[in-house]
Amino acid sequence: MWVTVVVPSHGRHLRLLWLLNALAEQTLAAPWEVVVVHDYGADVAERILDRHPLAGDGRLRHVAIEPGTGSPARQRNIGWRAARGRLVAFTDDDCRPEPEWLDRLVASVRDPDADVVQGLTRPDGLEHHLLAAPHFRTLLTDPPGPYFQTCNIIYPRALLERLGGFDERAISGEDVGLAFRARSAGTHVVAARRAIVNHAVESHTLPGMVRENLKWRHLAYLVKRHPEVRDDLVLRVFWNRDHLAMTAAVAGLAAARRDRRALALAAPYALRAAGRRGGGPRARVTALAELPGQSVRQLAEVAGMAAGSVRHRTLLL
Amino acid sequence: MRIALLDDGGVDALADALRAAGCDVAVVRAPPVAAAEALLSRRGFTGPLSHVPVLVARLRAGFDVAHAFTAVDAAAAQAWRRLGGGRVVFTCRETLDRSGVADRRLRLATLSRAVERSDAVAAASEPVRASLLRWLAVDAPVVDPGDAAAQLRLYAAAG
Repeated sequence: MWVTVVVPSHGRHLRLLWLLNALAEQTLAAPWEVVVVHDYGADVAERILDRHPLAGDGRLRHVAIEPGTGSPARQRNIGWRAARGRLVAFTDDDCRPEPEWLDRLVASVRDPDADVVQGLTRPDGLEHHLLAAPHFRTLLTDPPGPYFQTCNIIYPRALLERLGGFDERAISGEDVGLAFRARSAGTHVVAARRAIVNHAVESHTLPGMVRENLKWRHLAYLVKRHPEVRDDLVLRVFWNRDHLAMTAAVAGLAAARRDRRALALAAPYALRAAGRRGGGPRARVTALAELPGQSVRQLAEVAGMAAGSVRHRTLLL
Repeated sequence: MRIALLDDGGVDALADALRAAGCDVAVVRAPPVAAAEALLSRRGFTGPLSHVPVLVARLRAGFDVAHAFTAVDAAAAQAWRRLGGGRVVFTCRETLDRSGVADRRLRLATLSRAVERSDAVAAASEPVRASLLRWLAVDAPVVDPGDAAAQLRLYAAAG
């Protein structure tokens, strides 16, 4: 049974190379291929993709799109529509699948026209030192989860065709939107905890992290399209508990000019932030030193989501 | 041509060979600050880094070529080039593998800049060349660190 691995890539050509190196070590015996959809120039594409051993083996194809015209949804749609496989596995260019990843995902498929199989994604152990950075991004998903993150999942091509693929109007959360449509269509989800993808741990500067997280403002579109997402939100409005605590802290600080007791509203945020690095004395000092930067980051996230709420006319913070 | 060899603990033989070939060579040293390195390491940074400001300052003594042997030193030499310095040559001596290309903060950034923004890049051995190709997609020539004539050709290629 043919399997196609679809990878959208933008701005991470070296990590894409490392992903291809990891894919070249897959143990799956069945025929499989990789389709990379990217917006790199011809020189980078030649260096990273055309010269890669997977291309020499005829397993790697790539589709170049105009720089600045891509989005994860559009790139994944281009990728699966170009796929030869009856099964389409998705992963990302900042991931490192274990050698048995594809084999174990495919082995978990019982109905190749209906089952969705979700693997386990964890922060890459080779990059765990970066967790010491004040601002980092990585991912942990323990299947079966509700959001079907596309860093580690396999869809039947027939199902993708029935669902119309990813919603290209979604700037972020396009995988979650597809998950809700798949579940509404009665799709059976299989957890494959031994199909492991290691997700990069990337540290950012504070401005870089704020920029990176601004994309989450578009999640309001997802909530508008799929109101059932609210069932998983904190108080059906807040994306996570940190956002609730930050919003309460801002309200408390604003109200404290009239009544100092309102400052108590900031206490939950301060307590959460102080415990962010663990319970030891050094961890507390580190967390307190990081508190100003974390506050700015989370305030920017909440403000961005408020802006998204206005744009998409539904409240999500 | 004034050549600065950025000392990583193994440039003396190359310096002697280049001097014997008639070059004006200086070995530029900037020792890391142990306390700063310990703090940076605890915060997940690659190292050593604390010597970079002094290294850049010492390069401003007026060189035509800065030859670095570590990714961080290459990044420092590139900073010197942006301040009006000369060419930057990077010879990679380290055999790279996946566990060491992004294991610490600034590691990937310094490695990728070292190979993509230096004026010339070389590998110190065949295993290093193969690892550069596999992990950074750079096909660098192997240049024997003790071969002064080959090094001079590398500096000319950087120009």
